[in-house]
Amino acid sequence: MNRLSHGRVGIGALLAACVTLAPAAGWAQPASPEAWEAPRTPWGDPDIGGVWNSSTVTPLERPEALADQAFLTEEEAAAVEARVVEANARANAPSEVRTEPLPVGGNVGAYNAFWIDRGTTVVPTRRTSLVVDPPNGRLPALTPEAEAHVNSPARQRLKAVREGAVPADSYAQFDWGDRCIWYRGVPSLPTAYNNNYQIVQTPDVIAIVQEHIHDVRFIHLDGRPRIDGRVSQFGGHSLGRWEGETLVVETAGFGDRAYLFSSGPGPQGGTNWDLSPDLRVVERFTRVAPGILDYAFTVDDPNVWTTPWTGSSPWARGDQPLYEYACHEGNYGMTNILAGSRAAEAGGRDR
Amino acid sequence: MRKSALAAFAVPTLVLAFAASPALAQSDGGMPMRTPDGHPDISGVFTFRTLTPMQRPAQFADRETLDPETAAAFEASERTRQNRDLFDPIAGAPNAGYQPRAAGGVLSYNEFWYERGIELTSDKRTSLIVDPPNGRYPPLTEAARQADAERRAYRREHMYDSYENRSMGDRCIAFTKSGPPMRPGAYNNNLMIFQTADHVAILTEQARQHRIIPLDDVEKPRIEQIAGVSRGRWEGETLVVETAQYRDWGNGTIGPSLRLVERFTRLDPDTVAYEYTVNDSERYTAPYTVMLPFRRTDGEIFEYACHEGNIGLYGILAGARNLERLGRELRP
Repeated sequence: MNRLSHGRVGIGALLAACVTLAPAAGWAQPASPEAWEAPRTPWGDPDIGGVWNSSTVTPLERPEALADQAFLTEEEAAAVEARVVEANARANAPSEVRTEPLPVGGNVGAYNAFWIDRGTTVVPTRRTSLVVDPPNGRLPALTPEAEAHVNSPARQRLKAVREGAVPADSYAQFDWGDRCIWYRGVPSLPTAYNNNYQIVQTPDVIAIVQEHIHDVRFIHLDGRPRIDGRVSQFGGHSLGRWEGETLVVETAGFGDRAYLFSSGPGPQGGTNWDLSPDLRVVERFTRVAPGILDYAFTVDDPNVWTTPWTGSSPWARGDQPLYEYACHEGNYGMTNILAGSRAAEAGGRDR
Repeated sequence: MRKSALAAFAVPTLVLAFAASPALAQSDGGMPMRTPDGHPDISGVFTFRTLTPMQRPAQFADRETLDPETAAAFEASERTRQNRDLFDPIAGAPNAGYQPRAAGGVLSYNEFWYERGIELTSDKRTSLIVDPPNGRYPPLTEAARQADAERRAYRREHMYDSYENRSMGDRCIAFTKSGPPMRPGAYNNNLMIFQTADHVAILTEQARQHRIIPLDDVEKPRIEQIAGVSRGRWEGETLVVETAQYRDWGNGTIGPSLRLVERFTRLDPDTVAYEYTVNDSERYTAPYTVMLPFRRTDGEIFEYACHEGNIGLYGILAGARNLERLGRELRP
């Protein structure tokens, strides 16, 4: 469900403007995998260590207007990217000097463009969505139970609270990200900022530092058994193995914390899925070209989607270090949301 | 575990001598423990819980280590003294920091939460501080003494004003167990070390703080961080990590004037010797050095929840507001 459906300046609209036949683009652009071999660690595994960035202007799902078009042409991609650059320049321009207060009850906006770091490029394959299966580039239908959950009065009310349409009772109504507890979920999809990762690779274990909220996942390669299913974690429990050039990671054990977040192309907001304890995720990390680590993932939650789905989100090599991430510190957003809710109630005002 | 090596752990000069010996850390087969790229292998999951206090207790003033009988008696008395389940909630436990109920004391965690260790270090040391030789922190500078007094005075007046006046730990932002340096505490005394040819990464269980330490002299960012900025290098068998550029934690102990040097040495398959020296001439009149064994453990490091389900900070502030409404005094 969209946390904020207003204010979206969509790539959908940008993409919809350019419709031609889809080329058979693959990783051959920009480099041919046949002509290139991934570097190796001292012990012989493909070397995926280092800093990576998953920013992209390609949306998770193919915009409906593109229908059957799975790939952009080079010209279409260039046009989309140019419009993103123009839009950023407009957003970064000095604001109009405001002499009158905004109308009461309206959307006051949030972050300006300074905060946003989505990148300016589509994925190197020029695919029109991160979702590669189903072939229409869109997520499968929800199961009837999931539909019922999304449409339930309780969930709809929660959605209204999170969108600011009705006063919030408590911080506990906000999602894990707003509460500074956990972002993105597994798989980790690109969002509006902090799309940086640092991978530390050893023969037995791989650690992935996620810049957003400064968290670490680790993936055991030593063949250990899965931990007791009664232990649930936000990142689940990840076991990995090398299959040729690809690190394959299977994750389960999310319990009732199972959750996924993808942000839309606008400055704010996105989609939050409540997933079930039956969630299983398979991730595949493959160095497909110099400077590109393909991050592919298959998400299977039979209680939420009618079929599993697969996506691919290429990570680009970064050359900057990761810094500490502050979430609560100096952040008065939650206080203000709740204080605003109390003020609205005291004023007897309905938003 | 090689007892002789661990016994030597008590004496810094001997550890340094050991560090120069390439045969120091050996796997069970007698081969030196090496990573695939040929460096000493300090990786794994470890615990640093211990009953050995940071500073030497007054009753052991001139004793660096204890004989087995004295050590066993001290361990037994510490296990009793610190055991929350043995505290009388009315009488409190003033020798363990809990005031009687009449003086406002309220017991918090019960013993279930604690995992502070049940033994001294295996060499039965009386303090983790090994230098100065008296096992105590060096005297504070006059400026630090004054700053501490001012901080305490401010804290007495304002500690309940806002969550922003609470400690980094209360606010789930940073913990002294993660540091750096890592210091043992009441629980979550666990860490995981990863190694590559050019980086060492340290994940501490509490607050899931992590540090990724480049082993080459890459340019340092010109910012201060809660965990500072660390760079490491190998000196023989020992990983030496230097850290500076700390943000001020507001507690007097960690801030921009701290220069930390940590040394990690694999003594045997079960032990990494962790030694650190605090150089902070604005705070202390001399450097001090701590030695803390990391003992291998086969458990997993799990996610750490700090805010989630935790209404402690809310309770503290709500309680203070309620006392104010009742016109009652707030006690630190």
